[in-house]
Amino acid sequence: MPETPSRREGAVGEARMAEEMEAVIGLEIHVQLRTDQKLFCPDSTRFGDAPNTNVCPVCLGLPGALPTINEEAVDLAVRAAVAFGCDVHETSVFARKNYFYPDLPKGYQISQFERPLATGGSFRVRMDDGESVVRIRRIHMEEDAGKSVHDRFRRATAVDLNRAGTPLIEFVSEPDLTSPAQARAYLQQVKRVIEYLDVSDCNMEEGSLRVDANVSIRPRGSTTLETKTEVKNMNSFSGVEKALTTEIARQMEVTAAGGAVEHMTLLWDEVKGEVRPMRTKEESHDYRYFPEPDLPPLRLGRDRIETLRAELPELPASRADRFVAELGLPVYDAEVLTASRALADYFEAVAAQRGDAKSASNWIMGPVLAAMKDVGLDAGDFPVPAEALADLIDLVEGDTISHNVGKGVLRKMVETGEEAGVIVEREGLVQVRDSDRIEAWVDEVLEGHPDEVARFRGGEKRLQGYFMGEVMKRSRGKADPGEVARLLARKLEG
Amino acid sequence: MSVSKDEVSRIAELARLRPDERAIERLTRELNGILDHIQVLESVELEEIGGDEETSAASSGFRPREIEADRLGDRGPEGMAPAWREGFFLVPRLPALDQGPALDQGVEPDSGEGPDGAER
Repeated sequence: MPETPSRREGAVGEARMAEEMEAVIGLEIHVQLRTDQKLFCPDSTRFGDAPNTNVCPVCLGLPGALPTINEEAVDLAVRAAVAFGCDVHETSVFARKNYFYPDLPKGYQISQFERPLATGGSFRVRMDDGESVVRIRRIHMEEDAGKSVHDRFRRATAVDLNRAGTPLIEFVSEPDLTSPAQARAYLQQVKRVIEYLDVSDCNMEEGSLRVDANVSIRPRGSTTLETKTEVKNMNSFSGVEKALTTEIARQMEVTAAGGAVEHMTLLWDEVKGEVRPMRTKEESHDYRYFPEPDLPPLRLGRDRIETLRAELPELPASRADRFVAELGLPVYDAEVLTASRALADYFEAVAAQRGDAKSASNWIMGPVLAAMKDVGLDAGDFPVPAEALADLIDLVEGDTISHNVGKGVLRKMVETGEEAGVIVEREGLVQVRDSDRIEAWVDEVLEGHPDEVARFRGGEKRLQGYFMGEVMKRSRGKADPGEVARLLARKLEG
Repeated sequence: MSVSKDEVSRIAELARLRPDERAIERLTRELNGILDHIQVLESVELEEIGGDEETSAASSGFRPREIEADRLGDRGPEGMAPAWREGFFLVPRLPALDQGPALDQGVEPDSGEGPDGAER
């Protein structure tokens, strides 16, 4: 029996061990392709449908049913493979991977084994302390299994086969990652590229992006690969980092105590913060792979591959570089604004309309991202079009309204879908620069707060901000702040 | 190439089959007969004919989008489910999740109740 490796996160192994050893991590990322039909049959891939309603003789593996290949899925897989610098093979072969599990109706999964779609790519991972290259061993296509639901019924597992047959690609990295933080960064950045490619929605909650990790430890400087474990069930970026930290600490503890790490599969329990053994890892030949007899080899003409390569969109790293080089944005701004393709598109549209990248960047990185967070939408669904935001920024930059009023107008634009000019006009928000009107507000405030005025004059200069706030409140945010400050200074000091 | 009785036993185990000793001997003999036959086929000179790459080049067609999925018949997936509840197939819980029955004990067909009278 394998030793039970249950342990709490945070119980880090001996410090000396941690100094002498390093982690070796490889990630297997499963990405559900954005198609509306399954890989080998025309059933819908829609998430959230009633259970077992999108099933047919093919994905259930009924006798006589024959799989046929979804062309769109193949093109999406090739697009991902060329974007990650892989060599896409003109001939690849589907294979049966045989195993028993209740949510695998055929008793085998159609995958690729000896001749995958693509091999030999690489990916640059950017972190605060520099870049590193992670080699991608292979990208292959396969169908997903169904879903086992363990918590719906008290004494049985419920199986929904709607997902069975949904197209996936699996990215297998070489074990080039050396820390949980680096693994997390790699995963986040791979996800961002896949989203840019529009290959998948990468929704981790819905299982469109799933990740397993192979983990081992070895003495620093060694090039030998030691016995690894496989960690599954990490459903978030933070989950990946925590699970790997926990598993590495466990392996160090086992090694420090003179034991040997055993080859096994572990499940990450996010709630308890621990890893638990799932089953003794089957060797790959136990899956008894053999070429899928119902499908011919997948043949792609070189022209098709090159066309898909030529159609690749600009990817986030080069887009961020361009924002810095051509638009003069700080590196930080460029990274934030390229977090998603929709956000980068939105920023570029606003910047183009205004002819000023920095003000567009400041507004989007500040009030706009805050508003998106408040309403739970991303740039693709944000109800304020780029032109409307550019008009709002014009009103602020042209001193028609103050910056603070502008932020309020943005909130109303999000709520109502109205244009900034309409809201400003209706609510009378145009900035007041008339000195007489502002002076009247200042006088009212100072007369209404004689004690504070006395304290200010007695040396409590920080009350300046308090008076400023009161005047702005009285003017409903419309008073020109510069004029308010000037008048306050004159009257208080005078 | 040939397979041993141990290899046949291991394959049977992976396939959740439990052949007895006589069946293993028979299966080993039959499988080795098949492998011998494949060896004969492999000795055929194919260079001038061309291999799999060429002969099936025309058959890698993709599925036309307009094809609809075949129906499962009037009874739907429920009709082939050993146990079914609220639209789900029911199977025994994994032993790893609790002390429930092992998976390869199977699910007894019943009237729609879950295995072991599964309850919510």
